[in-house]
Amino acid sequence: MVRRVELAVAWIGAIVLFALHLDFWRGPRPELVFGFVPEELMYRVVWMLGAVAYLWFFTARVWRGDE
Amino acid sequence: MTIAIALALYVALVVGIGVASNRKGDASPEDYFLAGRGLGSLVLFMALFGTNATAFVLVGIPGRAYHDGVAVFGVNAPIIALGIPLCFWLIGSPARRMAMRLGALTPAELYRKRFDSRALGLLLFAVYALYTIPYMVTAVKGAAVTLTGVTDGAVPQWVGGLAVMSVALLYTTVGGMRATAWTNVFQGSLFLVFMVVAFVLMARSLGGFEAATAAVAAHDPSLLQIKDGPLYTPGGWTSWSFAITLTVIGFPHMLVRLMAGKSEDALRTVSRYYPIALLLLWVPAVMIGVWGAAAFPGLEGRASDRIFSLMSANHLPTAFGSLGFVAVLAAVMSTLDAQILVLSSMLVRDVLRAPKDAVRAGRWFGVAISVVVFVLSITWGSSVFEIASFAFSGYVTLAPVLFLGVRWRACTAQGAIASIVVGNLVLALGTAKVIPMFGFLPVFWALVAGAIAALAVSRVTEGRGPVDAAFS
Repeated sequence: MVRRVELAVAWIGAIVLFALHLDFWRGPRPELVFGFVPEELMYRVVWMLGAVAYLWFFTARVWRGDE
Repeated sequence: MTIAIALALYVALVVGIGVASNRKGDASPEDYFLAGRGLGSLVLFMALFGTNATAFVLVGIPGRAYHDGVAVFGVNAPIIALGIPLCFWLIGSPARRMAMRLGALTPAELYRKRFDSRALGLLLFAVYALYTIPYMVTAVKGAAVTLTGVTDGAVPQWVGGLAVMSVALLYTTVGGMRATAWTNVFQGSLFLVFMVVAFVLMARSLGGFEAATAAVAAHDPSLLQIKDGPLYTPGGWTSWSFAITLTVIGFPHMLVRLMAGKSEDALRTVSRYYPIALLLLWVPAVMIGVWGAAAFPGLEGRASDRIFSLMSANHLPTAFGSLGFVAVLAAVMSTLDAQILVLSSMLVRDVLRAPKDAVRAGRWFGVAISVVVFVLSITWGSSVFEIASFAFSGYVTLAPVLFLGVRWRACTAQGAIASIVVGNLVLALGTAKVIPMFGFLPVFWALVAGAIAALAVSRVTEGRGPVDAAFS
């Protein structure tokens, strides 16, 4: 049961991240975050940090050492 | 003078590491081509990261960001940060285990033995060579362009290219996989640290992060957001996301390093830290190009490949700036060495079928491959980004076979061959604009067509080829 939940979380996480990567609805944004970071760059960096968290979960719970 | 000293120290170090690594081995083909399948987490991480990052990132990406701005980051870095580790799990992990079971030392040998098909092994080698040699050309061109830039043209490009090829060839032929892996630890650390420190120092030289960004906004505000262009349309963006993700596992020099991993744990550890290293490398690479657009306006077309060296020479302290060239060299050589090794090993194992003295033959093939790459590097006129894009698209056509071959027992040799042929045919026709692409890049349809061909033909030829020993 736990394994199935972990796999479901992995699938959903991957789909959500991929969908957020294909962010065509946002369009060009000229704003700067903190006065010097382009909003476009900040969005991608935050996304990557989400991917880091996802991969830590994935390698710990889904990708088993005995595979 | 400072550059010469830095260069001499760098060359002495990598050759020294190469020679020292050679003393550890037992001179068997498995030891020379795969480091005895014993790369632990740290060395495997740096070997993969060093091999993955090349002139494309340090020279090509700043050059592209010079024209396209921060959009270059979004279309490349995030998706590979997620996609590469997932491909390590999907393909690299089962490939490593299967290679151990079958005693395979090269990617082509792995799939040849898994499918029991010499024709597939030869086809894989041909396709790998077709796309790896241009990719090697980008590395040599990138280093040569940078050397010419930092010396204000005093060193011609052909001299720089020749020097890079020679040094990489020297330590690769001496020490094989173990030498390339350990030199990658040094090289990867060098260019990663350089990029992070250079990023901060360049910002200070430009008056701080706010001033640097303000200068870009005044020069061309579109560089700070998504640009117009085929790559940034929904179809182009989606296509490239698949392409850039799947191409890395398609590199034979990456797959062979995964095959050299010591354990499953080593692969998992690598996958955890990989995106962090990519983040630290890509943000500086893109921003150096974006800031450079305001600092050195007017570079047309592939002339923007010089922006990394221009920024290093003009916005870093002299002593540190000279390390810029060494950093590019490190990135270039850490890929070139792996490419020389994997192509020569495939020539020995998959084309000649393991001659008596395989290691010696591999060394001579390494020399021959290097000569071809050097000649192409001085005659091929396209930019680093353009040549790399061609190679990356080509590698993607192998993704269905690489995946299905290790994850789907029912995949047959005929299905695998059909996939590679159909995928490359669609890629060629799409690139030549002979068939419609419906808003997507040719590589997207090549991937789809290759996957369908593998599934369909494997179904028709069911039961005529799978090797059970590969999966037991």
